[in-house]
Amino acid sequence: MTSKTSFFNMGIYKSVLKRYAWGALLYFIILFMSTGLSILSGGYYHASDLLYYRENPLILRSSFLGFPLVMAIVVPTITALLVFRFIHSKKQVVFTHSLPVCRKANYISSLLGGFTLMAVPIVLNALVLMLISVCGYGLLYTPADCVTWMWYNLAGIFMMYSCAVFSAVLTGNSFAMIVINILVHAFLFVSAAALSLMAEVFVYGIDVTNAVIDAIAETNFTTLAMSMAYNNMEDMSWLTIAEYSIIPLAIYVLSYFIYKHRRSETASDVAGFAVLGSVFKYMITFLATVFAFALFAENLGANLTALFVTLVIICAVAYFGSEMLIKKTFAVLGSYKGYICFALFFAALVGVFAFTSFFGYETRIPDKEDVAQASIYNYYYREEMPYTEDDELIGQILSAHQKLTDDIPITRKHIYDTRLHISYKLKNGDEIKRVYPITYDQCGEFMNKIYENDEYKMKCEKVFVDDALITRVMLNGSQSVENEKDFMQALRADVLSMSFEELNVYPMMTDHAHNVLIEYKMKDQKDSDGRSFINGMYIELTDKYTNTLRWIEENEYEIKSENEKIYID
Amino acid sequence: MIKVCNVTKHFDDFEALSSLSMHVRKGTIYGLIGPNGAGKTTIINHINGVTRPECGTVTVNGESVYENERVKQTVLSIADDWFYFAGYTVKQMAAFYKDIYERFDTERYEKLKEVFGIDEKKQIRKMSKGQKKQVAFWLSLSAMPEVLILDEPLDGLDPVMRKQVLNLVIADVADRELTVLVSSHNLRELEDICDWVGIIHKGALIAEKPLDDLRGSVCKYQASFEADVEEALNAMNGVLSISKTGSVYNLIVKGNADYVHQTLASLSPILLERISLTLEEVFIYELGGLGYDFKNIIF
Repeated sequence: MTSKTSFFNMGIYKSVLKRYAWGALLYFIILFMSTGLSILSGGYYHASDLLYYRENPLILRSSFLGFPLVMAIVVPTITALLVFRFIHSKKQVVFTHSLPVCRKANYISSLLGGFTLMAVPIVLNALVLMLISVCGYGLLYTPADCVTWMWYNLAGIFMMYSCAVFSAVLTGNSFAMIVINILVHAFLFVSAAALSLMAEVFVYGIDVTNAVIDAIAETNFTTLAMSMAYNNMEDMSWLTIAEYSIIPLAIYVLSYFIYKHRRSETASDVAGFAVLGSVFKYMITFLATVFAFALFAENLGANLTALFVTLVIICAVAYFGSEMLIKKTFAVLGSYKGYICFALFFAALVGVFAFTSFFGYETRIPDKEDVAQASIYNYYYREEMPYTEDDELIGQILSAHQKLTDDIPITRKHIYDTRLHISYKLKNGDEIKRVYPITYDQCGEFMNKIYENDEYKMKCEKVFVDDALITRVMLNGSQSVENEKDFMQALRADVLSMSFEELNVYPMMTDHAHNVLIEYKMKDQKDSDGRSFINGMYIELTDKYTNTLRWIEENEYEIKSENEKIYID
Repeated sequence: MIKVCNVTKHFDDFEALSSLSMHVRKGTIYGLIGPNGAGKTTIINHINGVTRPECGTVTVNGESVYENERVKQTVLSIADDWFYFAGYTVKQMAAFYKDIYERFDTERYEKLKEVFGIDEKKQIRKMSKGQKKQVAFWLSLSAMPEVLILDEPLDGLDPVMRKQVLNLVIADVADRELTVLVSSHNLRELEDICDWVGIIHKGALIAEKPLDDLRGSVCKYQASFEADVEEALNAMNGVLSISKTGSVYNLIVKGNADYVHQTLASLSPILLERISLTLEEVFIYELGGLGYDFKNIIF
């Protein structure tokens, strides 16, 4: 005989609200202190900023939206931990499932109870913010902005709560739930970062600032919540918003089916399902091993025995440590077969990274006739890639690249001073990017020759920035230069006459008579509040800056006394 | 009322229930006894609807219990370690029961308040183990169940309260045909209240009988003989154990007692006496026959 089941049970819902009302109150207070109270006591009202506030409402700026959205990451985890404790505690699991409430109603009622506990403080705070707005603070933000603020926060908890609930139903243990929640959010991103770290150590010349990590990072809800805080969702299309609404819904449904099929006797076990124990173990083992090995391997360099011993030890610690956590016992040596398999897999991974050319990546240098543009630069100057189409210069860059790859080390050298970036744009549209950790001497050796090309030097050196972008020129930290154009002309003449090594005195520990700080606006780059980024370039004026020093003297700027000399490390 | 048919349950490689079948009749008190780890709590969790059977069926009033809200409205259980929400008072917990159980009788709740004499505004976590047990009975009986499942029900209660609670349960059995399944190690207590007894061992039910029949199925004889009859005694069918104290033989006999009596009488005994066994002794001898080691407990 089939039974009738319901979707919702008011008794369960009410009990969730009653038991954790204190949490909602606490959440309300924290939100109020970070928003309403902060506005009332913050003194934000400045006549000069009124126009700015109209364009960028105060409560939608990162400084105000950031903290609540960080809370929207933390609070759902705690809520799911408390509300779904009935599947983690042995006593409670028996009690709850002996009640005349089917799993569907139990899940939906608990889920909605938890969501209500989080939503009510947000809605109440939005109302308080509206009240503040209409009571004299309307120039800072409007009631409509409060509604936007509310939706951002509700969207934040809606997304994050789905992952927290998903983690809760996967495990029978509250502590494991937190770890799994972190893994759910970060596994792909952290794995990519860990593998990048390992690649950076073992794959000579790899450029780890790749788009893959960025793309993976953007797929998780944490990043989305933060981008909501810092970009105000302006760039987000409706399609993306729809995607981010459907995904949590799908996760809620998936979580229900997992809960429906999990066995109640798995309460207090790390894995709610037998197969998940192995999944968690290998995920944790993999991350721990990659990170630890990448860190140690760099110091061990080319000592193969030491590398092997380190690999065996780290794999063992990570694997058996995870096994102990999952099985809640120290007697885990019996599962040595899994360790051997994992160690072999990891050794193969290390082998691919370290002892091959990584599928030709390390040795790849394009043919000159295939290169459309090339670039070589020291990382201190990395802002916009200074590409050249000059045939002779491209030849020099290829030659420098060839020299760097003549002797490929097993691991990255532990001690290096700087990084040399070499990039190519090929005629077929492909790009090749490499980064080499090198010493200052090596860098000078390559770059002096390159800097003989004035056109390329002008692309590299920031003093050749468009005059219109310069906002201020400061001499010796205190004197503002009035005739900026003249000053910059003298400075640029000096830069053109100097070699790379003369321009880059390493280490920067000088007793030069003058220093100059030039502030300029970054092209097309604005901060989260819509203001242009201001960058600064700092130059120690050595004796080689003859034109500049003469200009300073002729224009009667103060000469620094000996005891004011600057030492920079 | 409660029918368990061929239920099997494994915990990893361990077989907790092995094709177990049992039948609890309406309006009876059924005592479920068995050694530690025999599977008592596991089968109770199946009857509660907490655990889904791997195979076999568990029905109450002909309907499957698992995920059946209607049936579970009539089934209530009190575990040894009864759960309550942290920070809840009796009154709050009663409100929760009222929200969940449609048949919760507020009038009865008020009447039982007088019986138990516990302050309903007191937080349950601040109560003694015995008081918590009383609250469990108070709320469960107020919910007017048709089936009451008790796991070590009287643990922690003082003798007066034990009597009080048992009287309440027995009154419900008599008045409204409440069906009770009791799991306990205190066989002396079960003996006083049970109509039926089931003995569970290693996940299987090895005996299920009315208490009187079960008691009658195993009996004890004391006999003394002038002649040496040891060989004849050992050759008798149905004798579970023979021990000798001085010149008196103690025989535990299972099965055909008349045949044993006649055989012993034919050996010209000086003394021959039949003694009824307690439930505890029946339990021990039933399981003793299955290799369960009691020697250290008995002697």
